[in-house]
Amino acid sequence: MRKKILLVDDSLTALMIEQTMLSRGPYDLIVARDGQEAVERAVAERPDLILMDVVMPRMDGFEACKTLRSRDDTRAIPIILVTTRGEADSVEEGFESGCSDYITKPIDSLELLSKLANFLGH
Amino acid sequence: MTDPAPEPPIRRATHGEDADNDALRARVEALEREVEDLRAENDELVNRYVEVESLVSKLSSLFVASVRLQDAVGREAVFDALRDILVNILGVAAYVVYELAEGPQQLAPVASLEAGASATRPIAIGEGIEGTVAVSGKRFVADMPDPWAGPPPGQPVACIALTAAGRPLGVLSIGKLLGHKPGLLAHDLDVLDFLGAHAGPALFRATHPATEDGGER
Repeated sequence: MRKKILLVDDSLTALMIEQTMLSRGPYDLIVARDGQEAVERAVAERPDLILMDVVMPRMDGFEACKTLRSRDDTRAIPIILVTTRGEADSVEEGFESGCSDYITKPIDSLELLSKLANFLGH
Repeated sequence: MTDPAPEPPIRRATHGEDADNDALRARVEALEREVEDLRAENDELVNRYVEVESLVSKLSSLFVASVRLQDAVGREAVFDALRDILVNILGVAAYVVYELAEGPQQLAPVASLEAGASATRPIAIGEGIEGTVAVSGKRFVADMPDPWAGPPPGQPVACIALTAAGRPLGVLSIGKLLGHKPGLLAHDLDVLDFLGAHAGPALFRATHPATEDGGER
């Protein structure tokens, strides 16, 4: 069964890399370019998982994560934050905002596919 | 007290039963060998999968970098694409792009990220690692016995020449990688070489839009 994944990043390069990695799998991909748009798309599209960058204009990944967790209709969606900072404090802030997991840039395709398999059961 | 019941005598297997047991034992051993073979085959497939996935990932990175540079119209767009590639594909935290200035033979910083004073200081051709790379065109990668400690003081992590049609246009100097990235891997060096050959022409085309050949064919 195909799963819907919402990719969120203001970087076109990051989005293209993620799309290339995931387009070979059983995934339908939708895209948002900042946290605000991510919340809107998540509410409208109800993705099975959200892969979201942290540093973005308008609304960052932490804030978007908190907003999604505060809403009944998006609370249960797994969120993997994509961060350029793997330090403990940054990871902790991510989990405090309600993310389910995190992955660091540059994204390792095997690591990403493995994390998706954990959440989506492939 | 009654005597314990005598143990039943051990019955010797008949000749026919011995044969059955031998056959079953042989079958079990054959199945165990088959399981071992399948396990080895599975391990090989997993290794092959990891190998292929890594190769696909590497090619994807080059493809995306190529598309981003090709699509960039104007100098700022080229610099934006370059920053995006360096951060998202190579995991670079600090860098400076120097361009060969017209007139005095020096490299002028034209784009940077988190580079501090290096972002404003021009470098004479032949001076230091950047100036040397601009002359030789040869890629420099710092020797980092302990990758987590970074390069020796005063050295960049890596430096490449940006060229178009064999002419040096400038250099890209990488000062620092993201904190969780221990060093440049083999496929990172491939991306760096790709940038050396393709970012130069993209920059040339953006700077001289009327000129047809940016040097890349």
